[in-house]
Amino acid sequence: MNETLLAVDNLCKYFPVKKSLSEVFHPADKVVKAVDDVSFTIAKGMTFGLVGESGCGKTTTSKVILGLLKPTSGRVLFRGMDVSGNHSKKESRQYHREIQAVFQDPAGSLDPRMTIGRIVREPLDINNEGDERTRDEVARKMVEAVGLTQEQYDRYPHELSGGQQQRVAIARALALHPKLVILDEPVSALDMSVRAQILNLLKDLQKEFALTYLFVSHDLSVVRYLCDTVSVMYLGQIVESCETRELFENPLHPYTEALLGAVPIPDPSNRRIHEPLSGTIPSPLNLPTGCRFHTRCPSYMEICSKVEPKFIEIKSGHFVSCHLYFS
Amino acid sequence: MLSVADLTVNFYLESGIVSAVNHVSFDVRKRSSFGIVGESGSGKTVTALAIMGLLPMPPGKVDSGTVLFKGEELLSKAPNDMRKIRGNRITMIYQDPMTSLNPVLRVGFQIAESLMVHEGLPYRDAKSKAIELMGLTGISAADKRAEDYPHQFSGGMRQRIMIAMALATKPDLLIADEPTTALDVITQAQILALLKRLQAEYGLTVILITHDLGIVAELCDDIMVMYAGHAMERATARELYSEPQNPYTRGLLESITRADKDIKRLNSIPGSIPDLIKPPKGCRFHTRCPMVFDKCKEDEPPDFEVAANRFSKCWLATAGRKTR
Amino acid sequence: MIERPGKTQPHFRSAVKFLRLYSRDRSAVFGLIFLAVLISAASLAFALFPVDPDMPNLASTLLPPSPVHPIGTDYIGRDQLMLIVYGARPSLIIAFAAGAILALLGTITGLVAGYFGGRVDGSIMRTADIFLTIPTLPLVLLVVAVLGPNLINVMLIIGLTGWPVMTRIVRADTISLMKRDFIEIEKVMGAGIRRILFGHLFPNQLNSILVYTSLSIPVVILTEAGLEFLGLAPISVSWGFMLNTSISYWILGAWWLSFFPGLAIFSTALAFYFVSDGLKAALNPKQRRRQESLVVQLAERK
Repeated sequence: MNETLLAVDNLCKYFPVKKSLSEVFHPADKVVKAVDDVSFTIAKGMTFGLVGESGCGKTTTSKVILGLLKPTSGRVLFRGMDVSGNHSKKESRQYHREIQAVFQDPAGSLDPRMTIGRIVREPLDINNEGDERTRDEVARKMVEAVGLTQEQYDRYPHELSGGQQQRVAIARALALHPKLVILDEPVSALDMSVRAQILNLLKDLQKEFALTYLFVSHDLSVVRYLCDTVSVMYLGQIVESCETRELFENPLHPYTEALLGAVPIPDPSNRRIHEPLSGTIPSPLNLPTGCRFHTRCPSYMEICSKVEPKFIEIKSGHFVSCHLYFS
Repeated sequence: MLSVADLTVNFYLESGIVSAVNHVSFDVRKRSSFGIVGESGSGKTVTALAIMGLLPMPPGKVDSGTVLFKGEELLSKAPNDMRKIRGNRITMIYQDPMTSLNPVLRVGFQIAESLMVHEGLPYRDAKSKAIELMGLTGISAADKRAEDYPHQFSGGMRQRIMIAMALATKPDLLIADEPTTALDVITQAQILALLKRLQAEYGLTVILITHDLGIVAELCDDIMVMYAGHAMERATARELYSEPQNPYTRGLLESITRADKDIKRLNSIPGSIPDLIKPPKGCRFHTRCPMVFDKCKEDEPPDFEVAANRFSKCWLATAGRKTR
Repeated sequence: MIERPGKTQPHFRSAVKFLRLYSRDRSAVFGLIFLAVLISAASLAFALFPVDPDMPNLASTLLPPSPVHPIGTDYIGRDQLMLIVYGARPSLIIAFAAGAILALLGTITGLVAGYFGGRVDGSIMRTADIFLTIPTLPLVLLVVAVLGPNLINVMLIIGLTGWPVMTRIVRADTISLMKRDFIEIEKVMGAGIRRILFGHLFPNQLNSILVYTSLSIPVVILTEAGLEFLGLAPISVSWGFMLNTSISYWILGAWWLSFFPGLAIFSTALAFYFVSDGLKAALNPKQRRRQESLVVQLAERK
C-alpha cells in the first residue's frame, strides 16, 4: 500500500448568497453548498479521478486543495499536515509549492506578455530556487521534457497552437517538481487530434517525475484512459467511489449508471441513444431532501426522500451512497 | 434532398486569403441524417453557412461549386428568395442557445415568429402552435412557460426551445451545428434522443455538425469527415468506423478515448492543425500523415470513389486499393 | 488552436507593426505631427524668439496680422506668434504632468480596487463617485483659492481631480483579467500581491492605460485654459490668459487677440484626441478589426 499523499476529510465549502431586497427579512441565510462533506484519499503515484457534471463541486474541491479557497469546515491533509487551516503565509507557501495545477483554457493560463521561457521559469523565480542560471537550465529542461523545442523557449503564447500552449502550462506546473498535480479538464478545450498527444504526455511525465495526479473532468472516456480510481460527484457530494475498471463494469449508483449510459459511443453497430434520465440538475439553492438524487432516480423508494444515505463500502474498495445497498 | 458539388469558400482578409472550404462535395439523402465531423478549422460550419446563404459576403466568397436543394440552385438565389427558404424550408440550430435566443422577448413569441413570418398565421394561432411545439420538445407546462424569458430556462431547455423554433414550419432540412457541445453529458443524451425521435416523427432530413465521433456514430446514417477545408472521407456510419479508407479518419479513430473499453495506449497524430491562410501544398494532411509519400506533398488528391457511394480524398485510395 | 509560423526579433517587428497600424489613421498622423511641431517650437522658444516675452513694445500695440507679425500683436505690442509659442509651454507641461498624475493615481486605485474587491473596492469606488459628482471647476477654484495659484498647484489639482475616470477603467480591466486562469495559477505558484499586481495585471493593461491617458489630456488642456482664463493661474504667458485679456478689446475689433489663442487651445486638444485614436488602433488592433477577426474566427474555428 502506497503512502497516502492527500487526504480530504469531511470537506465542506459553502458560498453565501446575497439576499435580494425582498428577502432581507428572511430568517435563514441562503447558502450554496458547493462541496458538502466530501472525503477521499489519494495514494502516492496514482491518478485519482473526480467526475461529474457542471455544478457538482469538483472544481471547487480542487480549488480548496490548491489553497485558493478556504474550507467552510473539514480539512485537507497533505503528507499528514493540515494545509487548509489558517497558517502563516510562509508555511502554506511551503506546502503549496508541492501541489501545482493545470487548468482547462490553454491560452488563458499563460500571460500573453511573457515568453514561454519566462513563463516556465516563473515558479522558480517566485520561490527563489537557486540562481538565475540554474533556473534557466531547469526551465529549458522542462520545456524539452514536454516536447517543445529550445527555439520555442523564446516565443510568445499567441505564436503557439492550443496543444503547445497546454504543454507550456504543464512544463510550468512541473518546474518546481511538485508531488501532486491537479489537472482540471486539461484536454477539454483541445482538438481531438491533439488530445491523445497531451494525454500520453501526461502519462509519460507521471512515470518520469514520479507524480501523483488528481484528474477532474466531465469526460468519462478520458477518465477511463488515465485514472486508477474514480469518484463520482453529484450536487456537492461523492455518490460512488472505486477503481476505474470496477466503476465502468459494475456501476452501483443509479446516477453513475445514467452517466455511463449517456456517453455517445463511437460504434455504429452498438447504438444506444436513449434518455438515461429525465429532468435537470436541481438548483443548489433548493437541495432535495434525503438523497439529493431522488428527484430523478429511476430506482426511487420512499426512504430516499426522507433519509440521506450513508457513504459505505459495499465491496472491497467500492463505496456507494445509496439506499439500494443498505441492508 | 441536398447536393453539394465542388464547393469552395474563401475569405479575403487583409492578412491573407483564408481557404476555409476547398472542393467539397456531398449528397444528403431524403429523410436521412448526415453527419459532418471535423475539428476546428475543418470548414464544417462555413459549409453550413454557405448552404444557408449566411456567409458574410464582403470578406467571404464562394469561389466555386453548386448547392442543389430539391433541384434548386441555392447559391445563385436572390436574397429575397433565399429568405423564403431560410428559416422555413431549411432551418438551423446552433451551439449556444444563450446567444441564439433574443433575451428580451418571451420564448413563446420567438417560436411563433417564424410561423407568422413564413406562414402568415395570426398571432393567436401561431402562439398556440408554438405551445404545442414546446410540449412536443419535452417542455412541461408549456402554456405557462411560453410566457417566460430565455434566462429563466436551463441550457438543455433553451436548446429544446431552439429545436421547437426550428421545427415550427415543418422544414425539409434541419441543420444542427454542434447542438450539444455546451451541454452536460446527461442533458446531451436527452437532446440527442429528442432529435432522433423528432426526425423519425417529422420525416426530417438532418445535417448534424460536430467534432464528437461518438455523436455521429449514434445518430447518423452517412458521415463526411472534414479536415482543414477538405472533405477527407465520405461513407455510411458503419463503413466509416469499421473500415476507414483515409489515414486521417483512421488516425482519429485510433486516438480517441473510449468510455466503453480499456485502452492501453492511444495512438496520437503528431503535429497540429495547419494555418488556413497558408495551407500545406497538395493534401493538407500530408504534414501529419504516417503514410505520406511524394505525390501527397505536391498534388491535391481528388475524391476517389473507393466503392459505391464511398469516397476518400487520398492518393492511396484508388479503387480497389486499401489505405493500409 | 492553429499553428502559426514563428516570428523572429519580436521587438523590432512589433515597433514596425505599431507604426504601420498607427499610420492607418490619417488624422492620428496629423495629430502626431502637429504635436511634434508644437513641442519642438515650445522647447526652442528661446531660440526662435530671443526676446523676453513679458517686455512690452508700446510702439506696435494691437496691430492686425501682417507679414511682419503673422498673427498680429497684443494690447502691449508683443508679437502674438511669440506669445503662442511661449504659451504652449505651460499648456504642454501641465498636460503631460497632470496626465501622468491622473494616470498614476487612477491606475493604482483601479488595480487595488479590482484586485481586492469587497470593502476596499467599495470604499475606493465611493470616493471616486464623490469626486465625480463634485463639479471639477468649482473644486479646482476652491483649492486654488486656498492654496494659491501657481503652476505646480494647478498641475496637482487637475491630476488629483481627474483620476476617477481612469480608476473605473482600470478596475474593470483588472476584474476581467483576474478571471483568466493565469492569475489563479500565479497564486497557486505562490506569487505575492506585488508580483501579481505589478508583474501581471499592470503590464497587461499598459496599452489601455496609455490610450486612456492620452484621451484624458484634452480635458486637462481645457481645464487649465479655463483656469487661466478666469485669472486664477496668472502664468504670465499662457493661452488662457491671452483669452482673458482679449475680451476687453473685442469692441475695438481686434479679433486676432482671441481667435488665435482659442485656435491654439482647440487644435492642441484635438491633436491629443486624434493621437489617442491612433494609439488605440495601433495598440489594440483586435478591437479595430472587429469584423475581420470575427470572420477569421469563423473560418478558422469552424
